[in-house]
Amino acid sequence: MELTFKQKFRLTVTNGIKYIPLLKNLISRELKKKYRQSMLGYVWCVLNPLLSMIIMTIVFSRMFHNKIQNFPVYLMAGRVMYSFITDCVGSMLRSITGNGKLMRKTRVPYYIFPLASMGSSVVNFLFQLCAFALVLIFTKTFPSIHLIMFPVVCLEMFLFSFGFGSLLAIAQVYIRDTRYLYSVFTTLWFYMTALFYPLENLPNTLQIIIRNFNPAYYFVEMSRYIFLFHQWPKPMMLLRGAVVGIVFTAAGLWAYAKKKDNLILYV
Amino acid sequence: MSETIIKISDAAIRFNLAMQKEWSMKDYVQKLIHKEKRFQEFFALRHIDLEVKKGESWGFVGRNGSGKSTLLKLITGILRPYEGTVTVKGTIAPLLELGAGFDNELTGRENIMMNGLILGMTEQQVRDAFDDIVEFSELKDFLDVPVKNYSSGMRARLGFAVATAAKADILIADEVLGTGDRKFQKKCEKRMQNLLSGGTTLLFVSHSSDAVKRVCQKAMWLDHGTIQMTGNVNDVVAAYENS
Repeated sequence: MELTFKQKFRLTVTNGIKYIPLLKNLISRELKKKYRQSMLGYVWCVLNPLLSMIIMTIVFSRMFHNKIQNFPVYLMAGRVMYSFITDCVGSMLRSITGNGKLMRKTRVPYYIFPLASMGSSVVNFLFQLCAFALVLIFTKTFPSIHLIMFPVVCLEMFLFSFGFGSLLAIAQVYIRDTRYLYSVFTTLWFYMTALFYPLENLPNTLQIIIRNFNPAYYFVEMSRYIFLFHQWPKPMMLLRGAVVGIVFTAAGLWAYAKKKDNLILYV
Repeated sequence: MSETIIKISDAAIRFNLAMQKEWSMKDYVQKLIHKEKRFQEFFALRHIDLEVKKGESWGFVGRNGSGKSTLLKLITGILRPYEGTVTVKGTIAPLLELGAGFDNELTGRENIMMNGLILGMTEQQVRDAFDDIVEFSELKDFLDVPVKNYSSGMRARLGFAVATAAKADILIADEVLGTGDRKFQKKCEKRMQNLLSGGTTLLFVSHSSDAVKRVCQKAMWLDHGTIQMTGNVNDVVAAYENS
């Protein structure tokens, strides 16, 4: 007796709801493990981005004399977005293979592990936003009405990261080189997202490539529009962000559905 | 007549031996170039039929690698049958490895909650069962110690206590009595007996024939992934020991 797609979907959802408490527990586990042994504990979540922002500000405004106005905000508005994406995708990538033992010995649905990684990255992102808020206060860059668009931008970014992370998590099960390739890729990605320099400094063709084909840059730029320029993000950017988010999420879900039964043999 | 809770008909599990090895880019490229089937097929189980009624206790015997654990994974739902069908009605508490769900960095207390949730309990059920778990595992003084500092016996006790507290319809125990001392083994057996009289169905794997005979009514003898014999526990264990 074959189940229809609708029945299967409903079954997955009802089964998933049962595991929400486990998901919460896994998220708090990841956070606890990250900070439990340090003296300052969760303070590091805020301190870490703050300190690296200060260092980068010193390096780029004193040593390289760039002409960006309000550099700390320029940097942080981009950095919170970019570091969420790489942090989320990176931890999702390792989540399935990292919990291989649990998958082989218990009956937990495997998609719970990438979701838990994503969840803890979102919590980390909230901490980073606190650090960002401190920077905004110190530089007296108070947010305007345009802030109401920020949750929309974040939602798009979450969808994109979830989809991309899911695809890589599954790829990692079959090809263990994925994580090394990804770490090389993030180095390139970091420089191609124009986090600490104005995009206009780059040659024209490269600018066009980044503007059009680097999803991370969409979110970085929209964040800057909101917090630094006090403008609405361009509708075209918002639309692109939405498309990228939906396409990647759909691809990720498709990969989960496709590899559902086969995955366990390789983890 | 009590109802059938597990039904397996003509099930098989197939592995590619290449799966056992970690894959890398190099292998992948090689495979693309040569376009050949480099993997060997291996049937871990073949022609398995099993019907378990509610409240029964089954023992599985056989040599190492005979497919006992694979069969339990098939019933648990971790593996899917390559051929045949598996139908299970009711909830399962799998204890395929003691402390499989434990996270070394977390304390005993946190692991009880985590493990309970993994077994499909609700948070409230874990809280209700908490005292019972602590008492049974005799770990009252070590609850706030990370599990990485536990001895293997302590881990075994905690794992067994949580899995049996889950009050699932089916309890699956794979070689769980190996690590504990004699006193604890007795205690575990008693707890399994209690669960059985409460209507739980038990699937039990052990290399100790005596334990199997004490705990189970029925047994299956597996060899090289196929059934050698099914039936009353004493007959099956005797046949297995004489082989």
